[in-house]
Amino acid sequence: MCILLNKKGFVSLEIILYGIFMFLVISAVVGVFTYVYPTFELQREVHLLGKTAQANGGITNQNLSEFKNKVNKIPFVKESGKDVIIEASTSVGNHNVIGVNNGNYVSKSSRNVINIVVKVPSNNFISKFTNKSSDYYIFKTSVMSEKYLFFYLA
Amino acid sequence: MKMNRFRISKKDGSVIIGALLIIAIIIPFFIFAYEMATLIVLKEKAQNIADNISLSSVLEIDEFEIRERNLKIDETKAKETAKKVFNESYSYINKDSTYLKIPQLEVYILNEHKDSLTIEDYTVSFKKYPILVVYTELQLKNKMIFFKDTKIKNISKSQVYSVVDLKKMEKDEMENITLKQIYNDLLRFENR
Repeated sequence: MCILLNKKGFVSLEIILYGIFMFLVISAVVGVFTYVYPTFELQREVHLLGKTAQANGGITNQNLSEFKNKVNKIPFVKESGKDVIIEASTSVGNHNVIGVNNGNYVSKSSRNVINIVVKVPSNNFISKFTNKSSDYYIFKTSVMSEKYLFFYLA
Repeated sequence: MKMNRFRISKKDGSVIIGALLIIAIIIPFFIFAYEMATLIVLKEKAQNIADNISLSSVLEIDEFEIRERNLKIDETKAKETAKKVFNESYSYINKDSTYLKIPQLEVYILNEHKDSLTIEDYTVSFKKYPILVVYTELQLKNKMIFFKDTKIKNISKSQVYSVVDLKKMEKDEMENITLKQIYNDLLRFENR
């Protein structure tokens, strides 16, 4: 009771400003680790996937499974329980370029751009920002094949 | 006693001052931090796109010149390829976009010995092998509070080089070798 009635417990302005400063520093650090770092990590992985697609004229099954394994290790993706969705197609003709191999790929001479769209599930249990917001984080990359060859992808 | 009562009444309203101070500092900081994070992520994305464009365009070697044992980038084809990849990468941005204006692309090719280029205080000169430089600029519409008229500028440089000295190869050999072998065995492409 004495503590509650104690009117001597006033806090100085310096303590308030210091508290604000510490709160801002902590929230900035938390923000970096919850938003900026995972975004960079995913963007880097998608960019690397694009580079391998450029070298192979599409996404091979091996590259696809390696990519999915890497992304599925990210904590929020694991907890969401959903799978990563990868779509890859050419700009002209909209041909699917997943599962390419040495006999069937997009050649450089076709001058077709390969568009890769990666949808990473968000573990969003709070609410959506708007009704149009997606449950997935979407990353996109576009590359031109460097695998030079004879026949075109039919 | 009178002095004490006067002092106590002077302390009324001190929490309001503290709360207003907190609101005046924290809310602008959060807005600033959110805009800063958005710009950092956008810059990284735009740099990845510029790298993709330059790596895709540098593959366009002048097929006629290479048969003559001269390594050069085909300017027309390289610019066409750059434009294609650029349009596909930024296909979601148009005149009606909320936050971004239509981005710009410039492609520069250095094929000759005395070629040199300066963009935004960044100088590139031809040293031994052809270089392709891609410059992209993304401008935000005035929707942000702290970062009005912000331009996101990205430069990406790619180079093609030969693993053997082409001049030392026989002319007949160069005329008969397939383009596939030239690309796979003789040339290497790097993005810096």
